[in-house]
Amino acid sequence: MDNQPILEVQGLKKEFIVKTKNRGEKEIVHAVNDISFIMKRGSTLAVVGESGSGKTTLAKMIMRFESITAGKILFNGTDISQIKGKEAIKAFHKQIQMVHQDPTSSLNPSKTIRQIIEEPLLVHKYGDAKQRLAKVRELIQVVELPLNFLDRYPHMLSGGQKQRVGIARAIALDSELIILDEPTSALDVSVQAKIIRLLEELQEKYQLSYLFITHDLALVKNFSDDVIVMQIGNLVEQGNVEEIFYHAQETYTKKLLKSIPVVEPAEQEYLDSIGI
Amino acid sequence: MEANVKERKAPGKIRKLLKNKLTLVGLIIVALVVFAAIFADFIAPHPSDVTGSIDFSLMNQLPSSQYIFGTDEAGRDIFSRVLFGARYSLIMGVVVLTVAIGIGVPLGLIAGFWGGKVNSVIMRLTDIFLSIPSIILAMAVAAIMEPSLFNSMVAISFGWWPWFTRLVQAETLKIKNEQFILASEGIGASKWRIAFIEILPNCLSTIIVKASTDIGFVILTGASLGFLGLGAQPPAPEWGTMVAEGRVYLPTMWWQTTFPGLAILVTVLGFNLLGDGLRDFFDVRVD
Amino acid sequence: MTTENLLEIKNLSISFKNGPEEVPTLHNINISLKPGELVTIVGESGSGKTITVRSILGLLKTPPTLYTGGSILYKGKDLLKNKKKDWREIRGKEISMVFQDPMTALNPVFTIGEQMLNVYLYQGKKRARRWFGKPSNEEKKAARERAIELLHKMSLPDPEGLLERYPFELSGGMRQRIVIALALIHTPKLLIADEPGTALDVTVQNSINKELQRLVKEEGISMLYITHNLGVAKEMGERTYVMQYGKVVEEGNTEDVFLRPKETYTKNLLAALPKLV
Repeated sequence: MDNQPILEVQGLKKEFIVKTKNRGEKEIVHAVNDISFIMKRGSTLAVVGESGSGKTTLAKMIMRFESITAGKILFNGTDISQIKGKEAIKAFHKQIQMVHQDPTSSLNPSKTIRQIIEEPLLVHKYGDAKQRLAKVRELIQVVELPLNFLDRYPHMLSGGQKQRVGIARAIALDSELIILDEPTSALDVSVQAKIIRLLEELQEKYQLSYLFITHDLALVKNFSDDVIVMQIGNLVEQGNVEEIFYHAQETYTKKLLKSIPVVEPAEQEYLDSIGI
Repeated sequence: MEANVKERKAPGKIRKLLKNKLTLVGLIIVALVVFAAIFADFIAPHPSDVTGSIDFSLMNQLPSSQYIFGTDEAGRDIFSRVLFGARYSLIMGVVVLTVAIGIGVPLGLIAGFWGGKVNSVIMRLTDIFLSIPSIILAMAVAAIMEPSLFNSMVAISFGWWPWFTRLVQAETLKIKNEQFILASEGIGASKWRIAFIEILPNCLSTIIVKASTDIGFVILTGASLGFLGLGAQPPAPEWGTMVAEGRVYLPTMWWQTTFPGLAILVTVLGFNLLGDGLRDFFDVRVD
Repeated sequence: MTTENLLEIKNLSISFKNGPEEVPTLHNINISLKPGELVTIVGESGSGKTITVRSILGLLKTPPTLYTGGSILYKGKDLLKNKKKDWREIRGKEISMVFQDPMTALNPVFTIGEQMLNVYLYQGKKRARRWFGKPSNEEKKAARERAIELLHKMSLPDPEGLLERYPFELSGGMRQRIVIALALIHTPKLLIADEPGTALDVTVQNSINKELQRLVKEEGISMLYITHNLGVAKEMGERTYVMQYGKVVEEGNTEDVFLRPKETYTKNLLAALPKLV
């Protein structure tokens, strides 16, 4: 059972039908074009791409926010692309959760931190009020925030603190798979390091699997096991971190690597060694 | 450090609200009107005049120290009647708005969040009611049922709820695309939960601001209906009715119409100023 | 023979009025720039870097901003003492600024050509003349030529066609280049780039930065480049200032600052970067 991949995507496609400039003409935009990959349980899979690559659409399809045009998504062996019915979808939401990109807009400004973290527990009818409060208190300490933050509102917290709240909310239901949608791009470098460290600790403690969507390749090298590279909806290259960073095959992948801004001469040497 | 600065902001905002002189004036006026309505029994010098004790020997007297606003054609003290009249106007304002919000806000939330056909149906219904002028509607209602304070409130509520639906629908459209709504969907929250527990609190400030400026206009509309004889019937000391009754005595015995008319003006003005101030108060905080 | 500083921020201190209290935000900032230099200011959010450069162009509203000390000397003249008419000579003509987000920096309802024409003809003029003078054909022609020249300089394809386009039709990278072109219309001596391209893809940002470097090298423009990205900062300026909490914590040649940092903050900042090797 442990060997079963937590997530398996087969031939996933997403097409949008868009009107073109010319009257009456319609165009098909292949936002996600025939993507297939396997994600191992307890690992971190990075989905790398620039804007328009389709990485966000991919995440939305896995969360069932977007419909699937073709292909399969297998979560723990079950094809979730076909599940219907409110109860089935709700059960599925318990297993896959998401940490959103912008900590400021992903928290309801009119709710207290306690209410925000409690929400998933309320929606999925977790215990009674007392049990929920205990769980919320446990969660906020797990993300290393003080208890008195529970009564505060989002605008009273810094970006990093808000993101910790977002993480607390995402792990509230003991979900197996967490989708991290650029969790640190809105944060300062020093804060980013701490958040990543927190995510690593949580992964170890709760055996989480992370689908890590990002454009920051330096971060990918330090915080992923496997990588898939996307460009305009297509899967350009995939492999583990070692393969991608040291033996990249595709030109696009190499181009992405070479445009990473670096500081140390050792890093620059590494970049220069990538031949296009 | 950041958190401390934010907490100190809240009391500062209330001070700012009060610092705005016009808002302060509005607040004082509204407080006075409410005070008059609640304590009319104790303040009015001639409370019996309100329920229609008629004394023709005192009729049409000029304003004097005993009768501050003068007397009307039935010898009743206008000042006392104006004070009691505050009750009718305030009740009208509060009740109508409560009903309008009670109907309009949920409809707006549902229309905005569900979208599609639901939105079309609700908004078209809203459009229909919006295009009927309240006065005409009230007259129709009065024609069907007998004119009274209650019926005039019903009539005005009919015409008022669509404004809230429109407002809330627009706010909902803006808010539903925010990330935290997406986050709630990701958690598996039901649509009803998201609409009423997530989106609604974020609309509150807009609703409150609109409600506070609207009270004035509801009062004005109510007084207009009263003036037309479609509201509270004489001998009720409703301001609009009093203005109508005193109309025939203009311009010589001007006080009968003028003072109730001034009461309407000042009250509406007070609510409007207060509402404006509240809008500024909320706007800055939402920042 | 030492070259005179083009820009010299001397002991600049700024506070913000928050209700009755004054919150000191910038503390004794000293930053200088020589003609033809590319200098980078690096800092995280809240470091004060944006406030510093906004004050160069007088873009901070004076309440709630309070200038509590120091001066900003441009060519020897203190910009903090500028009146409205002094600013008209400086903004856009001597000192220009390129802002962070190309999506919102361009007016969506005007074509590129119209926006460039507007800047060419009306920058620095008093408002009244804007309404009274219709541009002559010669003026329009000159503006158009200048626009095409600059778009070409920014390596944009088909400059003539570009003039007829609206911002929404263009990619982020193109928009950013156009924003830079707009800033260059009146050949400013100093260009302030406030995190340009932060909102864009890394590869695009890369080419924008290379473009800016080229401008300094080939056109002799002096540039003040602001960023929070350390990797980018290392590649841009010859000299770097590191800011934290409204102070300049470290300064020096870029190589020295990044490879041999002296201050703890700088060291910690560099340590927090995810490393490739």
